[in-house]
Amino acid sequence: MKPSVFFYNLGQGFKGVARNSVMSTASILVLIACMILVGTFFVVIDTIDRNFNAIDDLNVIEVMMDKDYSESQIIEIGEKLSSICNDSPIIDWSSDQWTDDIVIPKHENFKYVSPDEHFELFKDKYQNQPWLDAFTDEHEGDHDEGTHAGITSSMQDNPLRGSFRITFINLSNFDEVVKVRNRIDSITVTDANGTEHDAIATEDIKDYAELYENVMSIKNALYVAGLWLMVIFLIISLFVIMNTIKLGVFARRNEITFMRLCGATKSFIRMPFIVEGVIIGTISAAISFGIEFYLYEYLLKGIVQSATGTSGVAAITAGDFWSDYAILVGIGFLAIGLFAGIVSSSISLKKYLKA
Amino acid sequence: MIKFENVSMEYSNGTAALNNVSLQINDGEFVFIVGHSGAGKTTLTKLLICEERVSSGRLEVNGFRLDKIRSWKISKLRRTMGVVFQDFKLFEKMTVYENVAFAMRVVGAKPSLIKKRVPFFLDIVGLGHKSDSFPSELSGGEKQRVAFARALVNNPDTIIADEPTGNVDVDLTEGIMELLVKINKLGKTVLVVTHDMNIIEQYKKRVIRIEGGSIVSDQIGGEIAE
Repeated sequence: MKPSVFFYNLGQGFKGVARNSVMSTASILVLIACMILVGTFFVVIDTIDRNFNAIDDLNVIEVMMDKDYSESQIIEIGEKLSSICNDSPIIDWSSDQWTDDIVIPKHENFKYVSPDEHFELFKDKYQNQPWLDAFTDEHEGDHDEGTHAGITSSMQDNPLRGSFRITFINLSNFDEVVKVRNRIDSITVTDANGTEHDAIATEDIKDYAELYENVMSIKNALYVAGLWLMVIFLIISLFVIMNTIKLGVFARRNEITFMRLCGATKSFIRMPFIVEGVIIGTISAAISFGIEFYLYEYLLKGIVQSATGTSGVAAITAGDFWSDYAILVGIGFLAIGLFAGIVSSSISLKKYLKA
Repeated sequence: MIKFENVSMEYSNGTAALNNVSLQINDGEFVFIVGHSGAGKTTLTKLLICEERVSSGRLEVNGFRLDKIRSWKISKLRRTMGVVFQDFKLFEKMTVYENVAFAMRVVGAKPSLIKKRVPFFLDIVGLGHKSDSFPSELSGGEKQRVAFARALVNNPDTIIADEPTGNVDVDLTEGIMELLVKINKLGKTVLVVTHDMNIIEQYKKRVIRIEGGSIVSDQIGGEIAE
């Protein structure tokens, strides 16, 4: 394309936008609404993702042991659990880390936490709480310091129970976690009479499978809703831009007829209107980008900070969505804008460009 | 050269507009096309500028075979022709200069060429001094002249004038016809679609009469053309 033709078409495109200023503004507003909606949905989905992944112990299944279980019963359960874990592709289970002299396998992804250790963890977690002193004074009297009485509690009054902690290395396939969990549910243990019965009650298996599934279903619902809203708003945007450009085409129909009969090519006739669509799309993308940045940087982060401040728990985090995705958001918005502009202007002109 | 060989044209609603038309117009000729309303004059000119397609037969215009032309070549064909419309089709918001320049701009002419050619053709039609005027400030005859300058500015081989004297006073008719003769003398083929029998008799040029979609006579100054 010759520079003179390019600049002529560019100028005509800007004139078209200015000539139809009211409709152009309407098109820009609808397109902005579409982009903001899409952008916000994806920010929310990303925030859910980030926060879910940040939950402590998300990748841990904790199997609580009954207080009445003997050491041999716990060992029996531990062996069955380790066998299940050994079959799972999502537990890093290197056999060379097993040691023969320890009955219960000790492994960073599979370990037994005794009631004493639970108590220590409990104390660590609530060490600044004033009520802890009274509690520990009451219970530590029976604690035989410096020794660990095997895998059962050394404190007779310790109300906590021992547990097996299974850590998954890969959470991308949460279905596999659910499979492991269901197999754990069916483990049996042999009692003093030599009969087997269910070892672990369902409520004694603590994991995040249910939470994970709930959050995932919310996330998926948001994702689907976001996509549908994007499609609907995009169609509405296309109609509004099409009407805007159709008004311009109608106002210039004599020019277009004359251009055709003079020997102007279809692309030459089409170009100013496509430029008009592109201008509308680009302006919408730029404004949407600014608004989305503001919404994210000030509104979402503000909400997160105030939520964190009032609860005292770092429940949710805004993450670094913007720094990670700013370019992607910009390109995405521009693509939506250009798509809407080019498609709608091409459709609007079709009728006037017959041979 | 324009050559119709057994050309027929039927609209999509089934109306037969031209029936088996054969004729040849050589380069540099001046031809009147006459006939009553609905005779097929407009269809014939629409075929020439490829606004309609032939249904059957062979049609050749300025080296293009219009019975089998591809759509991307139509713009090239149209650049070989200048059309003057009965209602002038001038743009009211453009000056005389801009109206003529627009015809060049839409075919991608360079601005420097536009600056040279537009004043030249405005001088040819005698409107060099009105280049900054708007169409609303011009008389009917002057508007017609602007339309001629616009048709000529891209240096076409053929000029088609649709009822060029239809919208002007009798006094101006002669001036317009003289302009057409002047254009013809520049070497352009001129086709004038008209039903004004006075100018046909006065100018003694080739006259093709169409009735009911068929050519009923083809005469030069009253004699049958070969």
